[in-house]
Amino acid sequence: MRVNPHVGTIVEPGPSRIDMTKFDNVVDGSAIDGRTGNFLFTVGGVASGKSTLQNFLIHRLHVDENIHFDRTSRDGKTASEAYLNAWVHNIAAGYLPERTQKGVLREFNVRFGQRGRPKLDFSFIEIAGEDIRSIVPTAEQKQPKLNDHLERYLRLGGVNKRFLFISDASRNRLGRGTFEEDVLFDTLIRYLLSDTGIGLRNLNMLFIAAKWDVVQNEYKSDRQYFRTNFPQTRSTIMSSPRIKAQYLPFSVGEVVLEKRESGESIARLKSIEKRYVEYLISWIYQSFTQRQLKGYPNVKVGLWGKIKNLLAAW
Amino acid sequence: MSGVAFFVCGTPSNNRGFELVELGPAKLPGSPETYLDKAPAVAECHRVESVLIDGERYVQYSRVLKINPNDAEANRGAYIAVGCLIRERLALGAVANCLDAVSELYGRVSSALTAERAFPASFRLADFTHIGPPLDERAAHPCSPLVVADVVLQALNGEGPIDWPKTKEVLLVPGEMTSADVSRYQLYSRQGVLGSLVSLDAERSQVHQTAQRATAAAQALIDLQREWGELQETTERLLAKGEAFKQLSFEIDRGAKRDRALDARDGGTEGTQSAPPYEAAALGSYGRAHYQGSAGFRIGSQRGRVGHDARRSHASQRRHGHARPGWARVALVLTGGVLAVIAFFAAEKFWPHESAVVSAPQAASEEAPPQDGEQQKPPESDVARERAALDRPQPNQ
Repeated sequence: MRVNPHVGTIVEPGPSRIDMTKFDNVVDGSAIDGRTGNFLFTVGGVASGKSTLQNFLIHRLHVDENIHFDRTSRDGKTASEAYLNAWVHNIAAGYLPERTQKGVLREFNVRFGQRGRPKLDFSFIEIAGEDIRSIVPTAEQKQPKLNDHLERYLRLGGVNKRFLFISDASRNRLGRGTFEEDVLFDTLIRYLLSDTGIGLRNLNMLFIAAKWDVVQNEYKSDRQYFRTNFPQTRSTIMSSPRIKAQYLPFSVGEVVLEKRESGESIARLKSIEKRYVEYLISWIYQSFTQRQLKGYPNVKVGLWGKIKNLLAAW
Repeated sequence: MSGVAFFVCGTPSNNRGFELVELGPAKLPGSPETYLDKAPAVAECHRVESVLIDGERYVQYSRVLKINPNDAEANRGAYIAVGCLIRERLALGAVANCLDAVSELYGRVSSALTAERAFPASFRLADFTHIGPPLDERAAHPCSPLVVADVVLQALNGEGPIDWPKTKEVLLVPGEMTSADVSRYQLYSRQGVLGSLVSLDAERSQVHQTAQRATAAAQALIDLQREWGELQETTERLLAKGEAFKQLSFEIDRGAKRDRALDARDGGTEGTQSAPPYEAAALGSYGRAHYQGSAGFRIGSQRGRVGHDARRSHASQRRHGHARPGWARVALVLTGGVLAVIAFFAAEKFWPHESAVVSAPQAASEEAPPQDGEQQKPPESDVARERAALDRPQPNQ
């Protein structure tokens, strides 16, 4: 049917958000055992920003023309690819992801590289914070345990594992921190290294202070942020030679609240900050391949960096 | 109503995340968060969903409301849901009762919301409990909201079993009404589509009972068939044993006859010419030539060995210088056979099995030890009884 537009009326439909709950690429546990390759685990509390960071990572790999990014699933299933496409779409439309459903785990396999650089092939999983926080014993959580599927992924042998520990900086305002995340991270690290837990020999991790823009004017540096809010976690890290940890502040850009007719406020991206996500991409690439991407910041700590760190520690 | 599980769940707090309260009476199966934690696409709705949990199909009904979290400005899909998970097929009235209970719970939960459609900061979903009659009783009440709606409609239209001009009020007490009371009040729910649904429920209940009876009968038939099969097997085994013993006795008999014939020949009482040929005598006396070729229980009586045995017996008797009486041989063979059978069954019965000893439980009560005689006396086995029956002379033979 042909519709003649009214003269003088400009109709500009806003970009819509793709509903992520309608995708059925959910891990059922049948294909976890026997896996090999590189795995990136993103862990953190509820609403810490794990999904936002992953959305941003995929969006950035997609929009950078200097990166060759392949997200086709090697098992021939297109659901995961469609899911990642929706992430790119939603971030481009300014929508931050909604909370991840508890008890539901999704796995993605992607590859990226540059000309003259090896292609990094790695897998990562999306999981709700509730399924990670359950490792901490509480009055309600009498039998602390991780999500069963996550546990199986973590126990995979012959897999290179890297960890992103996501802290929600907006919950650690200066002088108002509750050490909730410190307890979670410390418990998790101990569980990962303990023989009665996962029993990893080494732990290669990146601590990320997400929503850094909220607190960047309160803390002198990200170093001070981690020192102030993660005393026990840092103590565990420094006392174990099996842990290699780096720290990174992270922000997605400028976020505004959009009030809806129904009364709810939705967070929308007004502008995108690519600096932090490039650090993240660089760290992932460097930690798995020991190589440096062209045009991306160097995250390898050199001698001068180590001296500076030592001085700063004093 | 054990197949219904009522629940309240949602995300009142952004930082605490998903919370769930189970209200019973049934327990939510599997991992409830995997099928309950779903943010609605619209502000407020009734959600009916068919879910498969551990291979079983359930129907989830819930009333869902989008809310704002009480500890964050931005909404990441916060919601509250009150509902029930139903496993078994219920009558229409029972389903209406479930919906009624859900509406009541939903009202109680949503009444705690502030004007900003968020729960107060102190609100904790885990503290929510059901108040009132037990939910399993509620679901089983015969006076469902359908009946109430029927009576209200009768009042509006001024018709039905109640004399409305003279009646000021009608009190329906769901907890006290019986099915007979309910059927007295029904008018519209007996007619039309709703009426057919109600009658369908009644018929379904009858069909359910009939199906249960049929299932029980089928089970009994299966048991009977199995027992009959076992009986047939036992009979076949018994027949086979009888056949074997019959042949054994035949062979023994034939051996005895052969010995008698040989003795007679050797004794010279009758001339060789007049003695009936062995084979002919055997066949003549029994008339069952087919036993000759049977495989089992051939005690020195195979056709090919007859001549040889006869010659050997003859020579032996000559060597010993005297002929052994035939009855003695028969007695010897019979005694040996009986002893062998008794020894075999005694060994079977009293042979100590190591596994049985290991796993044998201690005797619960002390009993007087059996006398020596009793202990040593082997029980009369079935085989011995069968043998005796076979040895008994048949009237037709």
